[in-house]
Amino acid sequence: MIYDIVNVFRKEYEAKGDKLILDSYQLKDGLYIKINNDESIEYFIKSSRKVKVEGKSITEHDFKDVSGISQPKIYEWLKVRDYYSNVIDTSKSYDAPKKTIHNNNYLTLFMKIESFLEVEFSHLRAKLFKKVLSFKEFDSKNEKKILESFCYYIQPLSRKKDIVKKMKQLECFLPQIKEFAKSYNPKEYIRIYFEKSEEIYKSESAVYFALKIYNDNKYSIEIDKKVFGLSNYNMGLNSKKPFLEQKTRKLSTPFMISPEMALEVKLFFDWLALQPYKTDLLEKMFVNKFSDNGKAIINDFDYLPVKIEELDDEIVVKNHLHIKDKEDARLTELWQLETMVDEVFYSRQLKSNYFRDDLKVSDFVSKKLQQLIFETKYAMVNYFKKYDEKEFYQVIKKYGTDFVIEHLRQNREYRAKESLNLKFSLLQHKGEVVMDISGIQKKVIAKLETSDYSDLSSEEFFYLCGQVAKYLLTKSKSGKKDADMLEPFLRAKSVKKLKDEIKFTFFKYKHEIGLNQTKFNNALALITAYEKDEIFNGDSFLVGVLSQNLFYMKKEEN
Amino acid sequence: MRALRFELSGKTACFRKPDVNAYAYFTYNNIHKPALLGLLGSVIGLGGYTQLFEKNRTLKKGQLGYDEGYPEFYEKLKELKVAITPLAPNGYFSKKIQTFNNSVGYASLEQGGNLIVREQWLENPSWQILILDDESEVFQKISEYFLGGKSVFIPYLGKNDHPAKIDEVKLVELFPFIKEQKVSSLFEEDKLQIVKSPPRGELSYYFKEISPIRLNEQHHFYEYANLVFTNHKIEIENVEDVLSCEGNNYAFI
Repeated sequence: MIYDIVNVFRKEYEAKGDKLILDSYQLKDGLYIKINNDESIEYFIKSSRKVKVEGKSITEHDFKDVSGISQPKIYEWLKVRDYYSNVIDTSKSYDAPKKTIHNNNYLTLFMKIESFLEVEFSHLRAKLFKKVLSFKEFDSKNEKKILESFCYYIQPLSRKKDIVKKMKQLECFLPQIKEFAKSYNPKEYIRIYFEKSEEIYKSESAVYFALKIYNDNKYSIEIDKKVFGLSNYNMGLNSKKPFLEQKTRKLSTPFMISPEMALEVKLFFDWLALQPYKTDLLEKMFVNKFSDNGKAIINDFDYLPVKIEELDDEIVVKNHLHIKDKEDARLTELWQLETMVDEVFYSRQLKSNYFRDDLKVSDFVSKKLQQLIFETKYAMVNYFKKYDEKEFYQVIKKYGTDFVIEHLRQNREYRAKESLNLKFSLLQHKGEVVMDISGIQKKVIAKLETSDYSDLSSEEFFYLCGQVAKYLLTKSKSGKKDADMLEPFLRAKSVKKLKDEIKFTFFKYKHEIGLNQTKFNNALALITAYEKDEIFNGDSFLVGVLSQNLFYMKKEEN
Repeated sequence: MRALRFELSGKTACFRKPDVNAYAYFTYNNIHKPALLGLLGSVIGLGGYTQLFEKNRTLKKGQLGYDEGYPEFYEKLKELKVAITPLAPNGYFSKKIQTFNNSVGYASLEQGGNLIVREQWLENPSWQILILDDESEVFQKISEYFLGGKSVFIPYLGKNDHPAKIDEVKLVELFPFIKEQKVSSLFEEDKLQIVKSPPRGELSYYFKEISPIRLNEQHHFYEYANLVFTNHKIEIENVEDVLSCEGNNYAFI
């Protein structure tokens, strides 16, 4: 996976360089201090806040000097140097295990304001300046090997002189800066920069990155005069989790990479951490990530051999249930199908929750819908994001009816009808025979009007049950008529139970039904006479409930 | 030329990629060569990583008797040439992340002793495998075991959670490569050149995966190659290690 990704990323990076990452890089909130070559000190403040613009919440950023004037040029100057000077993570800081110094070179000092106010200069001298002076403390075999290639850079006297000079300057300015920082929010950062060219910043940091780029140098091995080490991104070994190691291999470390590769992996993850969820860089790859303390962690990856934008065959969403004034919809593009599925089945709760494992029950998401989302979303992601259709139609077949029932329970009769239309249309698209609603309607009406007591087919029976149930419930005088009243029917699992429920409801509302209502009496007779013992056919029953009620049709005709 | 042909499938499979372990373990889309050789080794009863580890566990590196070599299966099978064809549309298998607990107690030393493992699994994977007859003893043995339905150890797809199903075993004749036709198996991207446009009337697919191709001699980690599965035709005619069988071209890797 890492090799696949880096291969693609490399091409982009070669074209754009660090700009690729820096374009979306932002300074953290806090106090920024620039110490110029003439020993003057400039103070800047970076702040951000959330504001609502047209209902959307966005973050506004400000970078100003002490007199409140915006300083975009200085911001750019600092941004580049800031990116190079950060530590990989705080556990890799020079003063570990204290971990208060968060910069990687002597040209900067990054600390939390609260720890900055308490820091003794001797700590900085010992843990930062002394360390980078000659990197003598990095004395393991592998580290020495790494440092060999930087000899030419570390050795010259001019560099050492500059380190001492900067250290003395900082010592002298420290009380004054502390005084200034006191009035400031102690949770934020203070970041001090010495004036130096970008190249020197880059070369200084390069030594740090070479030493710290691997997870831990104790795992490193030498192959062909190169030090290979354990990758540090999305990879780690932990003495508390012994099974992260490869127990029976010759090397217990899972993933050893070359220094060049390690650097590319770092650049990629730096870039990934700054990206929104959806990204176009990795065209044929599906990469999904989440952020853990500012670090990007990949939680799904796939290589996609095809990309589907247009559907092979147009999908026609027919108005099977004859909803009034509703026209057939024709879908030709995958995104249209996605939008329709999201709207009709999921009440617009799917797209926004594809990758949320912590979806909670809320006003918009009932417990049942939450369960349905969890059970079906992978099939949806696989189809709409990875263009893999295998599961999609299976899920529609298996869960389609559950969405209809869920809409009914939530009193969304219109959506329930739409859902049933969509389910039937999708199954029909895949060549399945779906219920011929008009046909059944005609057959049943004929039977009821002519008092033809020949056996009902299974489909007809459940359809008729739905019709009768709905008709009876409309007779209720209760002020609040909602879909809850359908609950006992929906819970029925067998023909017998369903018949019992209908009888029970009939007795409840029989005072509303005329003795000579032939059509209804015939219906009840047919239902009672039905002898087959079958499993509850939810679809046919729901069609009965949701389609036009034939006991009222007569009234209209009269 | 002959080859042993069979279909390898299962309900699920996981060929772990070793590169990340922070959130989940991911799987290669296709069985890779070292894993396939391991499976062949298990059928004819060759030792694997564990046997090598056991042999060396009491010894120090460089000590007399310490085995610096490959695990037995790789040592004996590494010269075999295989052709792997994913039997799925576009060569792509659906994948899903599975989460389970390892609660044996020694897997995690954190409080509670429970280790949560997330693994990406392939669903209903199936491959057609061809093993080139190089007239070696080991090939003889493999064909004998496969044709006779025998196996020393139980073969599995990556981990023993995923038993392997092997059927349609047959010895087939191979013929020279057929010009102007696609390659029906995975091949190394830099060894064959393909035409840019897809065949007429077909939707183009180009599946590419950097997958393990051999073991590093010194440290036994994977060395990788770009493997491709596509319906584009081959451009250059002098191709190495591509043979045909029943009208299809197969690249032996």
